[in-house]
Parts: sequence; structure tokens; C-alpha cells
Amino acid sequence: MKKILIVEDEPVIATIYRNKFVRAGFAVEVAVDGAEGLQKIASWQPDLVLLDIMLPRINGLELLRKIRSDEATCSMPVIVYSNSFTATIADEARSLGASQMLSKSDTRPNQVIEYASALLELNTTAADPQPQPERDREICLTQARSTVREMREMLRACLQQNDSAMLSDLRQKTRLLSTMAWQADVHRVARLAEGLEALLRTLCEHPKYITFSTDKSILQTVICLGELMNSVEEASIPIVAPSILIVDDQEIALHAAQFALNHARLPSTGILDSESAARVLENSWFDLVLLDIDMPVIDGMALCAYMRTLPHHKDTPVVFFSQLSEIAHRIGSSAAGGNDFIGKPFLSIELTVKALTWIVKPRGPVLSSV
Amino acid sequence: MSENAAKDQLPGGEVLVDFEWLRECTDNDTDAIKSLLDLYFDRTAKLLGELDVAIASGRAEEVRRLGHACSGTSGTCGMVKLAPLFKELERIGATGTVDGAAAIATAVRSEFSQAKSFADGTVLG
Repeated sequence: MKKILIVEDEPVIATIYRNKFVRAGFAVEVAVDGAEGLQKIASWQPDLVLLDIMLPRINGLELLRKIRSDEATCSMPVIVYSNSFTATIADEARSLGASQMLSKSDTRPNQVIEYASALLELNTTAADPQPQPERDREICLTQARSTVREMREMLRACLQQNDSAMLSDLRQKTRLLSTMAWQADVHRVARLAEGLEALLRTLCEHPKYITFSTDKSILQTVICLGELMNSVEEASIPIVAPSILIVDDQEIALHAAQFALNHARLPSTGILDSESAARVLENSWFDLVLLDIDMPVIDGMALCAYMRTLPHHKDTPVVFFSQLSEIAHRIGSSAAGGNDFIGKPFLSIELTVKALTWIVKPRGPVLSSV
Repeated sequence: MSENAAKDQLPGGEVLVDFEWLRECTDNDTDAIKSLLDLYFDRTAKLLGELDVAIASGRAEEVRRLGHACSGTSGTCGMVKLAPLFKELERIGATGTVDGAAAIATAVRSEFSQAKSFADGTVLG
């Protein structure tokens, strides 16, 4: 019987994978952090390691480095599964010698078994004699719902106490939610949580980038995740090629915004002048419109007000972005029919999360952006 | 201090370009950083010429508009010294005069030149 070591600090995720591998005929051990993983690799000598990246004590990348630098384990198959928003980490894992990189967003547990089997040259793909997909999904959904509730409580405390250190705990919870949602095929929650985790990672690593705007984006996203978990059926519909329009007369800002969204697989149409944008809006439908406020000829607020007179854009989400972050402009943007506001300059991941939030958000009344 | 952070500063510890910000905004994609900075220095150099003309001819609204545009793009590109200077030009222009704008514009040119040299010596070099 081939031996699989799962190095995973989230017990629910570890249990799901352990059960899957056991049912597929493998012997399985779980290590809850990198240090325990290292110890079990030495003592139990697994045939393959399934390795999470974000781990306490010794992180996944460091553990992988140690595995590859030890003569006894340098050729051991190691599957690394990661979050698609952390591309640089994935690249590093690849360069350190990961046998297989799997994205949580694209891989189901059965596929993980198939990859493991292939690496071990086994033919166990037809295994899993006692499939329990519905039960597994229910476990994941229950865990995801309770995780979102915990996130809301954590965020409330975090904002009340103005304690940025708590963002790290929130990030851990978000990562758990993302994984649970992927396992349960609640695509929209999974993708949004994945983005939020990447934003929280950036803010944990660089607290100087925490602003009123990022706080607000995090809060809105957590609320949106809660709404989505209350409508799991709708939230399970994959996001398919949303259409996004960005209007900004500043070429560099437009370039940066398009780069950010494109990087997150959210292609967009960019237009530099608001008159052309008005004509495009007359004839096209968009899932989301991002508007700069201060533009010549027709400013962003006037363009938004015009959009609202077009029947097909009556309810299209509009996010204003501008360096004009004064409260008066926020009120003005709401009055013009805008749904939200992001302050310039913005982190690209904040813009991505903001866009995703509005794309997946169950449609409701216009929010105040104040 | 990380290796990257050390490279991002002048010897005295002064930061002209927030490369941490640029790396976050491009997912550490050096080509994307180069492309963004190339575009920034090219566009801003042209706008600085327009700014000088606007100040010389006393066109306050144009100074406000150019200050606003350059402040936004400077922030987007991690130009931590330039963004507040452009913001000040925007503020001056919004008062309806260009009083004091020439001195700020001189400081802008100096900072712009230093930031460009610094970027040329790192990612653009």
C-alpha cells in the first residue's frame, strides 16, 4: 500500500483529503505544520507528499526546499496545491522542484488522487469504492457557512479595535473558506475568497497600504461572501467571461487597472474618453463599469447619471475610482447612481477584489458609498 | 531589511520610487513594472512641458488639471516624492491662481529627474 503524507494545517481540509485517499486505497498520515511534516517524512517515509503552501512553523516552500536538499528525499514526488492568486509563490514552488502544481480553483479531490496515482505510477483512478460526494459537500458547506460567520465577527472586532494584526487571523479564515468553497463547488464564493485572501496577504505583509478604502473593500467582500453563502445555488454558477468597462482619461491609470483585472482572468474594455464611452454604453451591455470621476468634457458622475437613463444599464454596478477621496465626492458618486468607490492609487489586488465582489454579488439595492 | 528593500533605497535610506508597491501591483512581474515606468516617464515628461506653459501663461485651471492627472499617475506608479508635489500643484490651481506654482514645478523637475535616474539604474537600466 502506497503511503501519502498530507501536510495541511486546516483539519477539515486534511480530513477530506485523507478520507479520499484512504478510500482510494492509500495509507495516509497528516501533519499539521511544516515542522511535523519534516519529522514525519523522516520517520514514516511516505511515497508522496501533498503539500499546502501556507503553513505554520515551516511554510510549504521551505519544507519543499528541505525535501529537495536531502539525498534521501530529493526525488520524492511532492504535489503542491496553491491559490491561483499567488502566482509568484507558485512559480517559486515550481523552481524548487514541485512534482506537480495544482490550483485549488481548478482541481477537485478526485483529480488530486489521479495526479498522485500518475506520479506513483499506480492505476487507482477507478478506486474510491465508497464515494460520498454529497456528504463531503455538506461537510464543506457547513464549514464554509460557519467560517463566514466567524470572519464577520473577526472583522467587526478588527475594525473596532483598529488592530491590523487581526488581519492575519482573518486571512487564515479566508483561506479555509476558499478551500471549503472549492471543495463544495461554490465557485463564486471560492473565487472571491481567493481574491480576498490575496488582498489580506498583501496588507499583512505591507500594513502601510492599509487605507480607509481597503478596510471598506474587505468589509464589503466579507458581507458579500455571507450573502452568497445564503444562496448557494446561485453562488455555484461559475463566473464566465464577465464584461467590464473601464473609463479613465489617464492612460497609465487605465493601463494599470486593465493589467490588474487581466491578471485575475477578468478581461476588460478600456476607454480613454468619456464621450466615446457614452456611445459604447448606449450599444453594449456590461457586468461592471469602472469610472474615473475627474475627466474632461463629461465627468464620471455625469456619465454615470447618463448610464442610469439607459434601460439596459439601470442596474449595472458602477464603481468610481478617483483620487478625489473627500467625503463630498463619495456622496456625489452615490447621488449620481454609483454603487461603490475605490480610492486612487489602489493596490491591483484591491481593484480585483472590488470588481469580483460586484460581479458575483447577488443584485440588490444601491449601496451608499460613504 | 530584505534584499529587495535595500535595493529600492538610496544610500541614505531615502525612497524615491516605491518598488514594493509596484511589485504588489504587478505580481512581481519585472516586464510589467518596466512597461508601466516607461509609460509613466514618457507621458509625464510631456505633461511637464504642458505644465510649464500653463504656469507661464497663468492658466490656473490647466495647472489644476495637469497637477491632478500627474498626481494620480505618480501614485499609481509608486512615485512617493512626486505625487504630493503634483497634488500641491493641483491645490494651487484650484485656488484660481498660479502663485507659487513655478517653485513647485522646479522641485517637480528635480524629483522627476532623480526618480528617472534611480529607475534607470534599477529596473529600466
